[in-house]
Amino acid sequence: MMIRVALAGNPNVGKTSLFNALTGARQYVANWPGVTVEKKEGIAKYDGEKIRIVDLPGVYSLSASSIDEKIARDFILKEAPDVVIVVTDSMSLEQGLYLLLEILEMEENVILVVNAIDEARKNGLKIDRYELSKHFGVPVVLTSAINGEGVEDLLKSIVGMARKLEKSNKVMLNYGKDIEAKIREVEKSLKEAKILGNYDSRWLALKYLEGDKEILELLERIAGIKKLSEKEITENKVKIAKARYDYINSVMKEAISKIKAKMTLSEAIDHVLTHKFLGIPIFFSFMYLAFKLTFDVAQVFSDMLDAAFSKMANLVVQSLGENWLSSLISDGIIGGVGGVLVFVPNIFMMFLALGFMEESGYLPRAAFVMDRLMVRFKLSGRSFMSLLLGFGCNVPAVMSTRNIENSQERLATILIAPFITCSARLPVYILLASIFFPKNTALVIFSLYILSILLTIGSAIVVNRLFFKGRKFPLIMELPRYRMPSLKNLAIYVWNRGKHFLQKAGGIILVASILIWFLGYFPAGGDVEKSYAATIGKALEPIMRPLNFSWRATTALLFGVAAKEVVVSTFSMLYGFGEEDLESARLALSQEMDPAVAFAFMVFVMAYIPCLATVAAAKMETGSWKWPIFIVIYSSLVAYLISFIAYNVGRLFL
Amino acid sequence: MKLSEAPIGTTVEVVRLNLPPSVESKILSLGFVPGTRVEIVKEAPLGDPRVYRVMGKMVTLRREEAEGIEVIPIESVIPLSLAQPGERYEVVRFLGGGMFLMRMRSFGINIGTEVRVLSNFRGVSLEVNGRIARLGHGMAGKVLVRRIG
Repeated sequence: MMIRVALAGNPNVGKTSLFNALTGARQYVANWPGVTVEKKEGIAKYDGEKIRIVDLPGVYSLSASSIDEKIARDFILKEAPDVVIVVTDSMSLEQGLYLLLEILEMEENVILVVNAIDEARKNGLKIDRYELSKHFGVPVVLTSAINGEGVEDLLKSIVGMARKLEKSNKVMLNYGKDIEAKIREVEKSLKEAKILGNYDSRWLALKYLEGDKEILELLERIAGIKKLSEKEITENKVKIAKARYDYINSVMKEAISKIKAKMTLSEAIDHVLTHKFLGIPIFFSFMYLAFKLTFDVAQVFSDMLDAAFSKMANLVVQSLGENWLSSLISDGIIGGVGGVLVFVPNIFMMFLALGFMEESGYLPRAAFVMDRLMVRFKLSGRSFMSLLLGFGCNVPAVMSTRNIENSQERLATILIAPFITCSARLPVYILLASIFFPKNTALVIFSLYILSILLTIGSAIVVNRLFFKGRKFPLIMELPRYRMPSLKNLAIYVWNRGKHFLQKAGGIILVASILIWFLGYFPAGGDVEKSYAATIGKALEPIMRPLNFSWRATTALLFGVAAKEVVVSTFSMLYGFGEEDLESARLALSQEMDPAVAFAFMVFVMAYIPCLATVAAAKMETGSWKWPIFIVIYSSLVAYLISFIAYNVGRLFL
Repeated sequence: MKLSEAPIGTTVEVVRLNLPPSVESKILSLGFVPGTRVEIVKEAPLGDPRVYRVMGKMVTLRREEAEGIEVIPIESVIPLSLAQPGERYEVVRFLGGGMFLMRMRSFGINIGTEVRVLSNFRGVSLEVNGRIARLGHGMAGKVLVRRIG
């Protein structure tokens, strides 16, 4: 029989490290049904038993006020795991014990893990696990996930509890006269209504008094118990929380002895990294390094992959001759697979940089340092980092939102990130700006970057109005201690997320690439001018007429959906000039475009439908087609509008 | 006073929360429970948010949230900006850098100096060794004092 275990705990207590230590590489990552919160599951084996471990989202309490809390609570209530492990951090034990008390109210088989015990020892903290065990009525295991200490004890304890050798005693915390009287009253009406089912009446009563929305509604609907007033709820909540902390503090006095207190290394590092003057320059230097790694270092591998795929495509054409099959294989399939794989080095490197920042504890500091800038746009400092990555490529930008804690903020960031002008749009700018604005090339390109930033900011406000009713996302977060990320944890972090991209986004990109190949190849056997794509381009031309885009320009935009740099190669095919030959490009393009049109076109390229890979990443990260479709429609409309304005303003001056 | 007004470097005790329900739950679960001590650790380079130490860990809050947390100072040490007119105080600590210390010295204000607060409205007027000095609200917030008698 499989032992089912849930791993609960506060954020930043080393829960994921412990999960890695327990399961090793036998784990897989998915999303919780219906939401975008990551779900990790893994298998451990001990003493002939198979143990399936689910890593619950890190939470501070189980009030169900956030998605994370709701997931954790529902899992414990509804899935009824055999054992719930509550992981706490030895250096801030109070917080974790609070969660333990909450979980003990709804679940009997609980093991308390006090993690990072090595750090506690280093800081002169002595933790008496027998005292903890006595007062909370649960087995206590001291671990250090980083060096593996105590992991075997924990496995032993899990198996022991599942075999009913060990068990926890139900703790009844006394919440004081006032609250206890209220609890009894609610329990009485619950018993009269006979609706308890599997729920514990005391737990239900407590949740009711704390103003838990779900429970309030449930009790009102089924048992006809009236809702409480806001004021009463606040009073109860504070009293209940205070009773819990008072109990915890009394236990802590017995169980923990502190030998010395001095400025820890973590505080010293923190002093520098979030320094009043140095904080921001340091943030940008780290971002620069992350950029270097994600784009420059990865580029070497991307280029190698790119070259290998072109070689392979050539080989296919040589051996099969020029026909539709060889074109399907070389341009459609190999091109499509290549189109997915060239992103892989960038994405792995991005997650390596992000993983290092997250595991080391710098990430929340970066959000702290940059927060003020983003508040005005209803975002927090955390989204700043994702948006910045977008200047390299929107795909890693969208994927890096994965660890933005607030799911609404995360969605908002995904929706606006595509407006950040990525490096793939640069070849288009360079081509057109150097042809039509030979004297002001840099200025024109710079203006596109500024426009892109303004558009992103504007969209942040629009998106917030549309979907989040002008709500701000509060930045209430813990700054964890700094620690050196372990190689194993980093490797698992990068691999899980990179694999996810290949599985989820890869398929979409591949199918779409083949579709675009089809539109470009048929029915004329590779002659782009007579292809379906060109026909669509011609059909769309009337719509684009207010912008003065020709059918060729429109067709190029169509191909640009695959990847924006493809606009350049489509131009070269449709206008018949070599990609490196600027002079003939100038002659060909200036027949159909003037500077105003060219500028409007660049604006359009900057803003319209992000490339397929970004759309696929948005689908993967939001878990539904609704949001990528919104991105496509919204960005197309915006592109059309500002491009129209740019054209008409440009006509006056250029 | 509000937690957002408590000066950096001081410790306060939470009295009452006055926040929207969803934020309140989160704040409570992080340990900002009435009766808990909170140390104001530092502010971000751009002035907001700030870092608070509560229950042995660091937590960031924006001004908006910190305004909803009612606190009382538990030390007798307060920033000069909160001092009462007519009372006498002793300077115990400065929170500013080198330039700030030089300014203070030019006013004759050092650690251990006795001052009498004359008024506290949009800045603090004080009597220092028989001379009158006037500090802006921001500056006064960086001078920690203890009431005498």
